[in-house]
Amino acid sequence: MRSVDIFYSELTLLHREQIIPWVLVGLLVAMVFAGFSGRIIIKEKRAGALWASDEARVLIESLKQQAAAGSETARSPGAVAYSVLSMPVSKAATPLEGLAIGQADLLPDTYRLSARGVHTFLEQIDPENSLRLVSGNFDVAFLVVWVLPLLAIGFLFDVVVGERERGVLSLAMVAGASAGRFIWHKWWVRFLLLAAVTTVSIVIAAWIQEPAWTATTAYVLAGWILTSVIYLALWCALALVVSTGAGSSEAAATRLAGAWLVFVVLSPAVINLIAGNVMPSPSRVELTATLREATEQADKAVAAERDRWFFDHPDLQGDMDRRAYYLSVARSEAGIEKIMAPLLEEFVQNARDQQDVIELMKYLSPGTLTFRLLTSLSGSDGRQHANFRDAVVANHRDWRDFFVTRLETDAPLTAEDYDRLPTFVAPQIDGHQLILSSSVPLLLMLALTCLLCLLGSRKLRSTDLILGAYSPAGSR
Amino acid sequence: MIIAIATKEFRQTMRDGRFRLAAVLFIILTAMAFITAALRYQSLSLERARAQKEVASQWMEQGEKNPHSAAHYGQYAFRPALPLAFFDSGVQAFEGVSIWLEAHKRNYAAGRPADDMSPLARFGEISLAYILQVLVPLILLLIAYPSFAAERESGTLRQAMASGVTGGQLFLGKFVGLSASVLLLMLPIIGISCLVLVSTSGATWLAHVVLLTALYFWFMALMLGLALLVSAVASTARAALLVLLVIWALGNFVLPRIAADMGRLASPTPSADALSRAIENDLAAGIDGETPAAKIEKRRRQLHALYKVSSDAELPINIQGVIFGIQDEISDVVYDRHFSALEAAIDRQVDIFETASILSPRMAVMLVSQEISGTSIGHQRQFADGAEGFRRELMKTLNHDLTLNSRSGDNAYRSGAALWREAGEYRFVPERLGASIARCGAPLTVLVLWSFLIGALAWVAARRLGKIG
Repeated sequence: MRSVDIFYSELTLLHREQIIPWVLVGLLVAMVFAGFSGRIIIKEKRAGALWASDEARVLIESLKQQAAAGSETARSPGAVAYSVLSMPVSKAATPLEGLAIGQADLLPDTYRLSARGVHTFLEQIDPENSLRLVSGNFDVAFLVVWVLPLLAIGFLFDVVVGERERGVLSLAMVAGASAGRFIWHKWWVRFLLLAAVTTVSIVIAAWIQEPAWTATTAYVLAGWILTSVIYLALWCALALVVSTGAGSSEAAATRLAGAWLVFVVLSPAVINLIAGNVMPSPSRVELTATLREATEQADKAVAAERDRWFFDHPDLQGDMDRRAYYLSVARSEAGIEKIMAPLLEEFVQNARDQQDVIELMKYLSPGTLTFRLLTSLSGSDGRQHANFRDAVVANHRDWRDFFVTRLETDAPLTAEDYDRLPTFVAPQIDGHQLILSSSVPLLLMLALTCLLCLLGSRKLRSTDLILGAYSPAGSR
Repeated sequence: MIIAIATKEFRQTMRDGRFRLAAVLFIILTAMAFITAALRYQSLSLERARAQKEVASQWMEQGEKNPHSAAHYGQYAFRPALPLAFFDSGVQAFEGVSIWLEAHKRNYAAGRPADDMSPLARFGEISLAYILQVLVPLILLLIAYPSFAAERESGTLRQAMASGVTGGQLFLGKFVGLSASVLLLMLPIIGISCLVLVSTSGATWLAHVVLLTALYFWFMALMLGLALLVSAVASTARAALLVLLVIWALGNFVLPRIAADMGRLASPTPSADALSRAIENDLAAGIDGETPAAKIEKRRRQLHALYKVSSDAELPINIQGVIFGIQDEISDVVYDRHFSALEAAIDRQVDIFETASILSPRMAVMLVSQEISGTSIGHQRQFADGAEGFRRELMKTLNHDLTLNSRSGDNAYRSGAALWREAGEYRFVPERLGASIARCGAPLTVLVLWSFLIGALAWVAARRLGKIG
């Protein structure tokens, strides 16, 4: 029997099993819906960032004109820095962020920085339905990591044991085929079918994101497809090995369901538990109490003068000295930031440490490894955000110094100063670098897949020997 | 006869290798979740109580100050960790734990624990509730799927029927036998949880525990009924297993996510930036078509007329206190408008989630469990609304003091400890159990519907089983 014939007959058989085409169509539809849903989440965030940025540009232009016309407010560095102008800065868009939401719906990708301390804007959170956050996102990464293995199991759990139970293997050997070759052809047809639908679905979901089709996008998309297909191959290989060794179809299905539970559901949760306990986060509650103490200390230092303006109502003081008021605000903010900055840095460092622990432990589960790879490719694994946050903190220093220097030296803002406002450059994602950093885990996963295939092959060869001994062909 | 079948089923399950393996896994995970949750609860509880005490003492000991400076200094409200959060943490990780209660402004709860969680936290967190909602049903399905289907394949079902057993007796017998095995698994957790709870919080939360126990037994019975039903109608054990695994995976992982995403698509929430800009614009525009400046001017004229004076300086009160009061009146209306719109958007999302729970009883159980454990969106809102009510009273007290005890332009006026004591501090009182249950109408209805559906279909399936004989 020729390979093409086995391929063809297997495809015909799959086609006859009415549920299979529906499952594949279902996967495609689910991927498209997930891509669409991710696109909307990311698009909303981008639209918000764009709107804020346009609004700030209009305000700056207006202040520039007012400064040229001699407006007292527009020329006051204190008033502009602490009462009028705040600058929205946004994370750079990553090409396929909508495919893996990851931390993107949790961490803000726009901060509105002002000359006040970083604690005033870095802790800002978007109001969200917490029930939705608990439930997680129905994104393409979820489908790949959670659902694809289930499909691989559904397609292949009885690829050997089922054929053995139905007596097809013996029949195939009567027809002169090797059991191993027969099973391998079946395996390839099913794997390729799933891989093809997965690839097409990912491409469509990526196309829905309307990315700028640059080299980076191509790298990221290639990384997505490669990661998903290798992960799928790993589960297909595991299904083959389990199916070869199982005594019945039910036993194979139960063992594979158990493997899925352990590697996809429990391992990530356990890794998360370990990371959280090995690197426990500093207390936010204590941070709040410390902020309170810092505020009190800083305010006490300038309390007498702040009371002149009812704390923050210079508008109610007819003969106010605007510069004196804003100098007191600057001193107070500097005092608070001096105490708060190292504490906030502790949180950042803790997040980095947790990332490191997870980076080490991700190899314990293919599900975790794939999830990390996909979110890293989409820039939603938290590291991209950490880089963005670092850049915001650096930009905030420039922004604050720009105004405070002028406030302290009593230098009024000019129209030209508005052209010299510090600009924010968001760190960009490097697609090439991403692929390089993904290559080691991918190669490891591929090696594991090959190992499982090899194990399956050996088991199939022994099946050949056992069946061959009892088949008519063997007895000849 | 039913007892005999149940006993046989119970003994068979106890001997089943899959059950033993599942039981070991269950015990390890439960112990892990229990110890971690109990330690976390203890540390959170102490930390928040300490922080609340600390900020209260900071408030009392802030020294002499202008009351409005004290208003800007404000207070903090910390959401206390409720005892049952160790069992079901609900949405708490995704809600802020502290609210700054300051002048003119309603702040969100800040310090969301999820912000500091590892990036894998969204993958899943093992809590006792998660084990009971997701893993125990899986164990049930894996034990129950061959109950009828495998016996049918092997021919023993026909033999049993021929011996005079009715389909109903067989179904009920297997149901009771398997329930007993699961009870054996769950009882130690419930017992230990009750002991821990009573030793830490007294009997206050005992009614909640009783209700939670009843809820989870109900859910287990539903899942067991479903598994037996599928096994009774499936042609083979393999088909029964596949159908049950698909139902389990869809109900636990796919449907909740789809429902949550559909909710977001149907009723999006604004970003923090967009919301604060909208609030700022409304504050500047004022309410009822009157700008804040116009409203203040109008009140000033009224006061001048009332006291028959021509300038603020002649007033026997401090006009600044009145102005702060007007600013608060305006900001209260504006914040109420925007927070109500935000809550309405979230409520619409939750409604969609509740409606989708018709397809997955686990989603309904999740909602009820969060409500009883005091870790739902409703409880967070109760905390935030309570804090906001306190903030408004606090501001009124401080504004009245400034208005009545000083004169306009008197920047040297200071208040002290007596006023800070009078203003008090925010104490969160968890709502009564009845109020939490009142929010569970929709998910409880879904569970009742599922019970009737499974019961009716099981009755039909049992009758069909009877015909085999």
